[in-house]
Amino acid sequence: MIRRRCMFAAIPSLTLCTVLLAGCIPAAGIGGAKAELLANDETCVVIRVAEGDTSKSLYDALAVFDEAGDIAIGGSDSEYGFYLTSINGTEADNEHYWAVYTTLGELDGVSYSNAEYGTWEYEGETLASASYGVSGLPLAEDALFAIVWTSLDS
Amino acid sequence: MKRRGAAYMVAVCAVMTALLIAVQYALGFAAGVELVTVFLLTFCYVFGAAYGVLTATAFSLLRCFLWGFYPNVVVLYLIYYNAFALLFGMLGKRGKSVAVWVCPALLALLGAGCAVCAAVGLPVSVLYKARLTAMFWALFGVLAGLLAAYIIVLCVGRARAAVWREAASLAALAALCSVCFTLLDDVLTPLFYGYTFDAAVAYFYTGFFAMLPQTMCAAVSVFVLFAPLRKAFSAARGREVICRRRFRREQSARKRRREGENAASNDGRTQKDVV
Repeated sequence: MIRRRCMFAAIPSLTLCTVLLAGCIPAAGIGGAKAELLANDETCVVIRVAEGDTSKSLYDALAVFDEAGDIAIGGSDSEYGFYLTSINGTEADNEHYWAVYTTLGELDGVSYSNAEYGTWEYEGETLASASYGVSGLPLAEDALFAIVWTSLDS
Repeated sequence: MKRRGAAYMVAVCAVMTALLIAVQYALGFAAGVELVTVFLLTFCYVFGAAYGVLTATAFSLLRCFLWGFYPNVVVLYLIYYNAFALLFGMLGKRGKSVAVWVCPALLALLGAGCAVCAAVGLPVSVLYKARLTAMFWALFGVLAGLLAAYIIVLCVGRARAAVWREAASLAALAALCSVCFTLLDDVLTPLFYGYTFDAAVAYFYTGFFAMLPQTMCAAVSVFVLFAPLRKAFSAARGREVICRRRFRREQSARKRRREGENAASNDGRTQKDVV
C-alpha cells in the first residue's frame, strides 16, 4: 500500500522535475528561429534549432546566447565572417581549434557539411564536419550544431 | 660600376619594400582596401622587372614579421608578386603603350563574368547569396565605368590623354591580376591544408568576398594613382640615370688618363713625342 502511494507520488514529482529541467535548457529566439543550448562547457557547445529561419546564422544564435550570459564567445570579424577563437574561456592555440559539426547536409543544392572530413557523435546522432564557418551556417529547422574543442592531430 | 649599381639597386628596393609594407600595414584595418598593387605596379613599370622581382621577393618575406609566417601565404605571395613584377616590369621596358584592344577586352571579359555570376547566382550558403550578388553588381558597375572612361579617353585622342589611356589599360590588367591572386589562393590553400572537395568549393566561393573589393580597389587605384606615382618614380629613376651617366663619364675619363699614362710607359715616349 505504502509502495503504491509512493509510486503515485513519484509520477507527478518526476513529471514536475522533467518540466522544470526542460525549462532549464537555455533557449533563445533569433529572428524567426528558436534555438536551444543542449550542452555547454569548456570543450563543447551543442545547439539544436527548434524552429528554423535560414536568414539567420549559427553565429547569430551564439551571439544571442553570449548576450544572455549563457556562453562566452571570443573571436574577430573578417570578410569571410566571424572567426571563432574562444568559447567559455578556452582559447584556440597552435595545437587546438574549435571545429564546427552539424547534421545540416544539403539545402537548396548547397552542401553545408561533409562526413569525410570528420564526424562527431552526440546522443546517438552523427554530426559531420561543417563546410562553412559559424557565419555561413543557416539555422535550418531540426539542425543540430556542435562546436567542439579539437586537437589538430585528430 | 657594378658594385655601385648593385648597391643602388638594393637601396632602391629596400626603400620600396619598406614603403609597400607601410602601405599594407596602414590600410590593414580596412577590409578589401589595398594600395600595394598600384605602388608595386608603377614601381615595376618605371624601374623594370629586375628591381620589381627583388622588391616583390623582399616584400613577400619581410611582411611575415608583421602578419606571421604562414607557409601557404608565403608561397602565394612569392609566386604572385614575382609574376606580377615580371609582367609589369616587361610592359614598362617595352617603352610602348599597351595595345588599345587590351583594356576594353579585359574589362568586357571581367564585367561579363561578374554579370553572369550575379544573374545566375553561385551555389554558396544562403546567408552569403545576397551580399555576394550585390558585390558582383558593384564590381560590374566599376568595370563598366572604367570601360566608359577608357572609351571617352580614346575618343579624345590627345597626347595628354595617352597617359590616362595607359592608366586605364594597366588598371584593367591589375584587376585581372587581383582575380588571379584569389584564384591562385583557392588552389594553394586547400592543397596545403588538405581540404575535402566540398570544403575547397566553399572556400572558393567565400573567396569572392575578399576578391571583389580588392579587384574594385585595384582597378580604381591604378586608374587614379598611376599617373602621379609614375611621375614620382620617374623623377627618382631620372636622378639615378643622371648619377650613373656622371659616374660613367668620370670612369671613362679616368680610364683614358690611365691608358695615356700606360702608353707613355710602354716604349719610353710621351704622347707628345708620338704626335
